[in-house]
Amino acid sequence: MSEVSSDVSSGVSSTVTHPFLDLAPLSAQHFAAIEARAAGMLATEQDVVIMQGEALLPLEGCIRGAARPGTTALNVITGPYGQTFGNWLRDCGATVVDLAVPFHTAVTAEQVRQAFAEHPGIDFVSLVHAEAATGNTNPVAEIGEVVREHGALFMLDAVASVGAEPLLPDAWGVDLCVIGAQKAMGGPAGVSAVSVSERAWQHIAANPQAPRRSYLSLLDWKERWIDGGRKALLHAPAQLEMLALEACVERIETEGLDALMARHATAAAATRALALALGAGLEPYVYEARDAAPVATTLRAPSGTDASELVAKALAADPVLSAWSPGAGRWPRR
Amino acid sequence: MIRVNHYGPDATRGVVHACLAALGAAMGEAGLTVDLEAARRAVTQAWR
Repeated sequence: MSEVSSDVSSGVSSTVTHPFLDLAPLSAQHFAAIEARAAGMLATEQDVVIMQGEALLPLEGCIRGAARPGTTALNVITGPYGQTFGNWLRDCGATVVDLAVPFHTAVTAEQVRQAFAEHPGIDFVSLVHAEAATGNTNPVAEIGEVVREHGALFMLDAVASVGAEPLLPDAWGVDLCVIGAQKAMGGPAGVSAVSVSERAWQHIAANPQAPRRSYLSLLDWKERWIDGGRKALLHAPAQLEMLALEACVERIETEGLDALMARHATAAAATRALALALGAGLEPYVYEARDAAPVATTLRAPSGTDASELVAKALAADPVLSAWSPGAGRWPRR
Repeated sequence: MIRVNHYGPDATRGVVHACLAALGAAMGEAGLTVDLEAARRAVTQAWR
């Protein structure tokens, strides 16, 4: 990628240009424009903040901002990230009610309703919309209705659903919705975004334990960026990642979000059909099509075969495939 | 467990067919009997 000029006579080499280097600074105005376009992915009237890190940054920021001793959190576990959220919640001093379901299924609104009935003090709910690792997706609209009925704050990890399936935080009553660009959006992993409802801002501001003057702080972005009219950034932005995010959003705008989601739905349906038609015992890991995430399809390897060996052979021809083994703790990259 | 990603540009008929070919070949190599033609038809049907 680099163009290197060599001065043979002196033996000195110098890199003269590279597309990733020596870029003009990213202005606050340009940053705000990218932020506004990325917010379009969420179809929300809420504040949207671009965070300068992978989506785990705003996810942890949301939990540490919202939870404290006295919080009773319903943590829905339908894949590996629910376990991580539970650890953060406990670390904040919250009482955590884990609602775990088999990873080849989805949680139901009725199960969430039952959890509220058994633990009426629940005031915070964390949920992963779609699980790329396990290939399942949860009915957020129905769950959101139950959460709203009980007045709890609702945090959604939508990293693996944004761009692949409908995501409507306002209509679904989601107070904190985190997205990343590295999956269905086909963009960079190094920046992410979170939408924050007004009552979530109030809740976080009232939490003396919420991070302040910290890289994890949502409040810093609220007070110094949003309330300041988006004129001055908190720190130097991740310039390359922001430009990549802009390019990826532009590509989605050109194609259309509905068309992008339709491609994902069809690719997932085709892969499930492929597995069953191929035979030899290969079958979808998530049995019910309604529970299957459009972003990634997980398959059960035929009995007596080693999934890793099959994938290793297939990967030689097709790098889109990957394999994981929960028993061995080998989880795929987000 | 086998995972097929459909991330963004990979959510296409071409990529699904490529996965089919790769997975079918790997399973055949492992001594399994696979029906590639039925799988191709299933993918084509899904993309209609």
